[in-house]
Amino acid sequence: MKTEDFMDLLNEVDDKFIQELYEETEFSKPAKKTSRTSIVWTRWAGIAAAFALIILGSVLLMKYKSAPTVIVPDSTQHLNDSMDSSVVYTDDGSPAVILDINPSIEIKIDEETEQVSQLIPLNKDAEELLTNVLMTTNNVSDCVDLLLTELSGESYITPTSNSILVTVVNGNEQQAQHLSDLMINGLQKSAKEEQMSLSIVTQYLPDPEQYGELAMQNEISVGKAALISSITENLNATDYDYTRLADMNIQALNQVADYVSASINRIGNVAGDINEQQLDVIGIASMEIEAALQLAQDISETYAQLVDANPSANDPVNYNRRITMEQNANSEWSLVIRDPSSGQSQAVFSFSGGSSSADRVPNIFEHAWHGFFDFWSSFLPF
Amino acid sequence: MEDQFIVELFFSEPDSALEELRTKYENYCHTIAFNILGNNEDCDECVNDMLLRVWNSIPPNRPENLAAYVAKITRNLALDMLRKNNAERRGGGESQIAFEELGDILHGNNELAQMEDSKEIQEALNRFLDSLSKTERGVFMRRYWMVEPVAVIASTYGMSLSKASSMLHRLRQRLKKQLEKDGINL
Repeated sequence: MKTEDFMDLLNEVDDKFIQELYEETEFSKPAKKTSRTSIVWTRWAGIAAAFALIILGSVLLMKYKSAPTVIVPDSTQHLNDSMDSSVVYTDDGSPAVILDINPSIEIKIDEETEQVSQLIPLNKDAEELLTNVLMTTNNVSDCVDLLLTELSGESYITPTSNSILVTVVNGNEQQAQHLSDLMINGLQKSAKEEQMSLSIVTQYLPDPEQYGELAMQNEISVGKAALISSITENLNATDYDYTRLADMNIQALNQVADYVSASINRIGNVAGDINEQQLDVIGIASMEIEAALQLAQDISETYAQLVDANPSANDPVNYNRRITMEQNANSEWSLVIRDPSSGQSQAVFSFSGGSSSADRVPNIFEHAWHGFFDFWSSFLPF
Repeated sequence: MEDQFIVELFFSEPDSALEELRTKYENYCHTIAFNILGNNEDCDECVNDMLLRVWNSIPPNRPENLAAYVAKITRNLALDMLRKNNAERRGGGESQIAFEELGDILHGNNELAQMEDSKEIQEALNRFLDSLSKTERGVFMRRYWMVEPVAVIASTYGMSLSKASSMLHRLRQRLKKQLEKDGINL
């Protein structure tokens, strides 16, 4: 199809979209008659606009020249060509920040200028993401803003999945704190503008090599490996399934860390968090730690399935369709997504609370009340 | 004056109705035409033609959404005029840049879409626009419906030029994916 034909087709979009455009635009003011004076002014304004464009162009050119380099993946430690979420970090030993969501991006910041010097994709999702970002600035805050817009646009960050892991590698503690602050400020500023609420987990790895082998073995980033270590710090290696944790994304790991009260630095509530009162009633804190971790993973994985089955939970219009933990009259707990307008709800993953830890190990079964959708059973893996 | 009164006025006092329509929508339509054509003479002609078309079509038509009605007529007229203009004149306008951007998602098939296909594509476009956030939709519509310069769009939404460009790139790719998912190969 030719672009002209496409432009014609676009003309026939629903009137409501054109009305929306009209209502939010200043040209909706009534027309004013053009006087001779205004014509003179218009001419001068035209000349002024031309100069402004020249100046703007020069500024943009300078900005492009100083934009950070997006590094091609050859210089990073890719694990293999078929990975989806690979890589560790670049290993020049200089301080850097790694952002993990699912895309993993290493951000090199010049110590003297405090400007972003390089953006390095650490996995394929990051490579794809960075090809879409037109980096015209090396200001930390602006770079983070562009990345966050892209992450949100590609649905890596959504109302139901709002976690970002910020890992500072190498450098001393003071440098790490400073870099972490720069990154957090940038993320928070951008999130505020985009009306998003982020849950930012921060950590500092003075010696990232410590996690290098573990990360390589499991095809995860060193940041993710360190986060898993924080979650499992009081467990023996035989008490849990490392592969299961490694397969979880940052959102799920953040939730698990929240449910088991792991000792991590978190700013902002993780989407799908369960309030402390409910956690007390569920009794997760008094469970054996391995059982608590297993339950936390079950809840988090079910949460992800419930979100996948209800994409409207991420729609700003339907954002009131929150996913919550609820207890029914039989003291059974369920993850519930509720639509206030229709009164319908879906619930999956119910389990009973019991007095002994054994009883509290999740007794998973399908459960729903109020309105009921037929399709939920199709995504129950149990 | 409310749009519905203007429409009713066309049925009783068309001269007054036309004046009301001009007062309310001249700037709006001029902006649409100017973004596409890039010169005032052609725009004035477009707006006058739009007024004539509205005069001829109401009655019998009774548009429910007058703003969209006049905007669509103006945009159609401007696109027609653009086609009539020679390549050099078109080359200088914002529309040429917007057209080139859309080249990303079109396969350059020269065959015109069949009527049924057009309807299918329009429905898919509506679904796509419905799926966007208000800001994303505004950015997309301003660029490809209004043919506004990216710098103006960025300024309207208080974002940087690069952020607006990135967003447009992503939206085009998303539209392409959605159309392909719907079995539409442009």
